Amino acid sequence: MKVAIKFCGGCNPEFDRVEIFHRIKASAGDSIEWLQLDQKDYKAILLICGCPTACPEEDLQQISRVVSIKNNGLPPERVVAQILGRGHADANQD
Amino acid sequence: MRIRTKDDYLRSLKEQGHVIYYNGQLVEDVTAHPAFVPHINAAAKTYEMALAPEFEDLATAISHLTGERINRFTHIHQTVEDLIKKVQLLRAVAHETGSCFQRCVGWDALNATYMTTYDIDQKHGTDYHGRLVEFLKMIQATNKMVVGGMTDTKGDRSKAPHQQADPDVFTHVVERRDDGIVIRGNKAHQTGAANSHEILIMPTQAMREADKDFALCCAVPLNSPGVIQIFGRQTNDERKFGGRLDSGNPEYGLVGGETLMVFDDVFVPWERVFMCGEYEFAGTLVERFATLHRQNYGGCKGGVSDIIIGASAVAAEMQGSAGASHIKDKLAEMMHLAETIYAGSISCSAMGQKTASGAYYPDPLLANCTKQNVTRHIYEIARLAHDVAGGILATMPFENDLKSPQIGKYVEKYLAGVEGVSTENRIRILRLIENMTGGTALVESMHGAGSPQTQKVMYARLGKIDMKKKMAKKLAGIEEEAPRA
Repeated sequence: MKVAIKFCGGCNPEFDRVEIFHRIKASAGDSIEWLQLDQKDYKAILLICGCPTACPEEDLQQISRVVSIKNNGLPPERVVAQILGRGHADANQD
Repeated sequence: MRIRTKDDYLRSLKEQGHVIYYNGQLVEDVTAHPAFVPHINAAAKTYEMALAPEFEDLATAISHLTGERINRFTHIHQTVEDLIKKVQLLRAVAHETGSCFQRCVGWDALNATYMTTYDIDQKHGTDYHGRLVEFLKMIQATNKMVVGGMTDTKGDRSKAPHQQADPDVFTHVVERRDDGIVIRGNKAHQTGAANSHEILIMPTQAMREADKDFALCCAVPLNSPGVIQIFGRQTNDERKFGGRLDSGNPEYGLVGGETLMVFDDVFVPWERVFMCGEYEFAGTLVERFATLHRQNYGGCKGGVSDIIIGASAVAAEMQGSAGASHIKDKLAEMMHLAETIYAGSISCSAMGQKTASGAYYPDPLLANCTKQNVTRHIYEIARLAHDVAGGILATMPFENDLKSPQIGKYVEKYLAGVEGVSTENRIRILRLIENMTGGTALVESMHGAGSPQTQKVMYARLGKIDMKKKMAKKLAGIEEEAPRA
């Protein structure tokens, strides 16, 4: 499944956003092909925000399916499951 | 050529060949000189972060002139959200460098000049704004680094520019030609100038008619004939020449890397001149630049303070004092002070206003309050960091002592902290605190973007004192006017 990764700007993050992405990426293995947001051809977006303000969330919700995380409390495998679950659901609708 | 990466930036500096002196010696290549490398690394972060997915949301913007994605440090603020993102970006970059990264000065100069040239043209029918827009398009396309040149050395402060025994203590026009002007003078405290490509010269203060030759705004490539820079000394600057441990923050600078810049009869073509004699706008440009620059300080110094707070907490852990209630209280106080200055920067941005040019401008009173708080809070944060770290901060041996075959074992043994933490790492964190909280780093917080009294002057003008008196008299039931002092 193709998924775009998007980070907030990171002005004052509560956790290491890049580190959590690498953990999610490792957990996903081959099940997800990661793209940049401008590559378009994706089924969902993983949005990693450094705090609950989640600045980019509102703009992205209007354009695509977004799995948004704002803390590092969720185990990576559950984030991956959320991404894949939502992606498959969307794929079934296509 | 568009500068995208750090390598592009370094190459551009190597090729530009500007004249700069360090300790009496002409520097052939700033990118290879240990006194300059840390500052260059810090400025390079503004390029690197624009390419990093985890920062691009803040570090880039869409140009209102071309629709292209550009480095935000070349952007003209188009909304209140842009003003807020500016502050957020500065905090984020400071987290990466722990020092000044210099590029906000030119950014603020571009924004202030953008607004003011529009107003000059409206009054005088000049074409300064169109010229500035063309210059800005070039800067956005090439991603060149601009230094904002405001502060003249000013000589005798009791005299106006035209009254000075040596008029060159203020930058001024010495010749007007068909193809341009010739300027002479200086700019002091030029943050980032040693590793910039262009300077955007602005007047240093409000001017009167007799000073119209000093009411000058123009852009000059830093490799122009007649531009000479002299690098300023900094606290512990020779540590950059030695080992990495002693410098505290080995990759990045202590402050911005400031120079005294001399203009020895420098030619400027008319298309790069944005104010030349419109003395009544000199004060406006100064005030706008100052406000935009004072807006920044809760962002960058908030970010720098985050590092100092983190380092203080780590130092406390390494020496076993982290559990003490007074240490926790001091760390909490440091956070309070840091978030207070950040709140100031966010608030003056949130209360920003649209100017006639279309560019957005922070609330000037709140921006000045922010900077005034920075002149106090950073000193207090530094004081608390010194308190938490302990006297060892001022008495640690050299890196070479730690590495000495003869005495290294004693340094290792007697400067050890809690079990499991190496003495070297303890020294590293203490040196980082020392680097960020002493000497030049503090003075930069005091005088950068204007000394404390300049903010007080703004309070007198912007503080709405008449309205405050009226409200007080209404509540007190006073109807007659008080005699004016």
